[in-house]
Amino acid sequence: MRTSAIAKTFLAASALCLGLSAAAHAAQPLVIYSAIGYDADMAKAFQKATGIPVKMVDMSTGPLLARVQAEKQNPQWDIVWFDGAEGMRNLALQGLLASYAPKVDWNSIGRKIQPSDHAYVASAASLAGVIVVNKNKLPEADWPHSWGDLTNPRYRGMIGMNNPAVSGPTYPFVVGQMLWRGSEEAGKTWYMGLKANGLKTFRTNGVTLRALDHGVIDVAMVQNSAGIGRMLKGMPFKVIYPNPVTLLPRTIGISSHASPEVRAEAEKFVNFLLSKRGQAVAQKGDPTGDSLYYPVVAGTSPLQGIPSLAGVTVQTADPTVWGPREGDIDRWFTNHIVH
Amino acid sequence: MAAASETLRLKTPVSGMVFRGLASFRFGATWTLPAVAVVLLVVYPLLSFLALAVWPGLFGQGSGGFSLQPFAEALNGYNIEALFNSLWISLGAGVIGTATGAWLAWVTARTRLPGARLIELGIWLVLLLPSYFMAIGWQTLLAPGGLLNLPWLASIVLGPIGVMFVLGLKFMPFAYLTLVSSWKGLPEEIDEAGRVHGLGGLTRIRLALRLIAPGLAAAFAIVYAEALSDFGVAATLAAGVNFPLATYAIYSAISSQPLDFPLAAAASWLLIVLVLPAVWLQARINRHAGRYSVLTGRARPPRPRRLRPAHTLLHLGGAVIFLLLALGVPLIAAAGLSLVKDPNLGFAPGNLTLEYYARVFQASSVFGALLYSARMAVLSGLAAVVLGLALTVLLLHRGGLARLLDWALLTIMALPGLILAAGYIFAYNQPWLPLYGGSPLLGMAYLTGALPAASRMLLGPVGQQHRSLHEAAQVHGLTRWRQWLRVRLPLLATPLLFAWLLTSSHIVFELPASELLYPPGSPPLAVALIAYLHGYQYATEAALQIVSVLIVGGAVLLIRWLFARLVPAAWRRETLRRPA
Repeated sequence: MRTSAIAKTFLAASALCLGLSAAAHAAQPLVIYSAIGYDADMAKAFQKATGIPVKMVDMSTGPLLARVQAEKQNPQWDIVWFDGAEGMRNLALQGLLASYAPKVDWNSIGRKIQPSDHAYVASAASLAGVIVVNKNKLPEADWPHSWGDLTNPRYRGMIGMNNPAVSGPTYPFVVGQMLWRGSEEAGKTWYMGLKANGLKTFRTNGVTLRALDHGVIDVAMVQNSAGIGRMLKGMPFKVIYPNPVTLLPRTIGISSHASPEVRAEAEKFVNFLLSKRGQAVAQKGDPTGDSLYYPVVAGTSPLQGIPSLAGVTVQTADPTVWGPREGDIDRWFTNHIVH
Repeated sequence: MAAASETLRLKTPVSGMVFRGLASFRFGATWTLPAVAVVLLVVYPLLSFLALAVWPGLFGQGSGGFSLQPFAEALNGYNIEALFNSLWISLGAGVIGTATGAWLAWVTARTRLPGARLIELGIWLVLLLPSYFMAIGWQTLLAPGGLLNLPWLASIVLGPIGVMFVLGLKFMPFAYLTLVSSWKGLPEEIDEAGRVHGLGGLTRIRLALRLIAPGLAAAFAIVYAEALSDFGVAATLAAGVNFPLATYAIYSAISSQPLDFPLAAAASWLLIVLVLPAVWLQARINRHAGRYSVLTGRARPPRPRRLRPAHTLLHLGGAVIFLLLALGVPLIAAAGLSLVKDPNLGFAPGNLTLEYYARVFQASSVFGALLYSARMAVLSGLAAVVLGLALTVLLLHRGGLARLLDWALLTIMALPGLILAAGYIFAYNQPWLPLYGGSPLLGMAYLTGALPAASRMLLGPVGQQHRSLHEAAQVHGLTRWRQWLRVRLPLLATPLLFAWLLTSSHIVFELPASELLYPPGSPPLAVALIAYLHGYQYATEAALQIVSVLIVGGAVLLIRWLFARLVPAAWRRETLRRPA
């Protein structure tokens, strides 16, 4: 008797499952997991232009990657889209991405950050770290202009940055300093110097810039788009671009588990995103946030308020080299700089 | 079924074989469905996640077979520090929550303090508000540039002490609900005897506290376990000041690069080890509760006492301070943030705006999120109450299976929702069980999270129904199902309604399972709230918070009003004597 009750329950459950999977096969919508501010607008525009229905999972990069990783055996997404190349490279190393090389006329930044194996596509770029000062608190004569200035005792207790273990865009910045200074050790020494100079750490761009706004700190090291966005909102900030700056690619990947039909749809989405029309949507969708990017395709200029990078040294951190070291470096940062 | 049960009760002379067969049929029918439900909802997904700690290669996560490496990592600097912090913070929160709960329970159960109803309402509201509302409220108020410029207070509250304090206040209602019945059950004669013998006030208080010791221990265990498993405060207030707590360390392991599910599973095991003593204590007290209830047997029910004016003022003042800290802060902070153009100028007339509220109502997607969450909450809450009632009936049986069930329920209560949600992905994203990615699975996770609270709330009322009630019904020829329909369910109408309202309003704001399990294209409310924070739109987030609290609160009041109007008076008889 008990067996039959169990059997009935399982029959009911499997009927439900069959129904669900049948429903999933009927429509073929494009499922996009994304952490980009203008993703919903892009999805709407794409759906309108192509008639392909889009379903979004839209949240911050941390939980998004947790979902992707937990689904590893049976991925439910067709496209994944967020800031940072290390996380995307990690997905590629696990065989989760289908390579795709869109036929696009890249500009110089675009060429710099596309992966040579086309495991994913870099759809835009921002700068992982720049200096932002509070003009009301710090007179212009006192503004720092190089990374080296920041260990000067004049800025003692006045500087803040994000914790790379929490804030995705901060890891490439931390790595950028190591790259430029020639070794991981040299970079660590610089951070220890900052700590000795009273460096304060916060969780994310938003929290660090709030601290800058409220006078907890007078100098912040954050992602450039976050600083520019606050300036556009009327905050008394000034963004300074010291040499060198590190590019933070915005990456989009296509699932290797998608059916050929859905994969074709996903490629269409990437092409739409990089098209003139797609770029217009991207630059309109989140005007004080993610829309403030450096385009990677020729013929599109950055929004007003984003200065040209002429005269600034721009470097990129190779995700295949620095991606695998992320855990160790984040742990070191948390243990030695944050605490 | 009904025939079988009558056969058993009337002890019709049948052969032993048939008797045993029927008995096992009844046992099987009673236990099979709830057992299958518990296995599918709790055991299977939870074990799927926790097994990663010793078998990192499962579900394609790590590599290799059996390994204790994840435990070695979970015992390293950061993780062990987080675990230790969680332990002492939760012990402190347990003391704060139990002390406040004991005092407020005494005030509302044993005195005639004016406004006691309002205090009770306030405590229910504290129960409804998610912990992250409270934590964000304190941050908005005291963080540099916040609404209050009190650096000395900020240095205390925005740190470990504040975390402990907020957790204690947030989970105090659990202590309150446990202790109200303890105070009501304490006979008045004890206190009178003390007075007659000229014992001092302090001695009498000590004696009374000793008599409700089981209640105090149970209350402490619940607050401690809830504080330990909380994620809302850990991810906001504590993480904001770089003060790691165990649930946040687990979250970090699965959401920052490199993602490490086996480490998160090992850290979860360690967290469960910390929770277990509380679970054990609670289960033990529940089992032995009968011993103490003897007190009420022959005693007169206590009469609420009139307080002296000075004492009335003292208690009223205390209650107002409590409500201000627990409810005032989050609501004032959210209102302050969402109603003004420039937070630095305060509530000056020219500085007021409704712009952020307009934004909430203009964004169709946000309203869709609210509706979706409301629908999910109503349905999952209903399912939780139905299954909760079935489990409650089973919990009241004697025997090993009931005890096992009790442990399972208390463990879910103590586990962070995040762990359960991650387990759901592993367990139900299988080619042969593809439930993941749809609303039914999210509903199952909501239902599971709500199950322990629902069954715990029903335990008292169901247990109170004396067996003479069923016997009388049986004598009058009512079948088992009719007994339920005509006698037992009507008597349980009020507690069932309360359990449904409480679980549903919790589900509306649920965050961790929502984030990990929501179906593509249908974000729930908590995800929409967090998206505003992620986009640094603090004022719009606060406006959405206020709007959703008003809508949920309004719906709860409306349903209660309708219930009072439409449901026969006899069904509501328990409102008067509802055990808290």
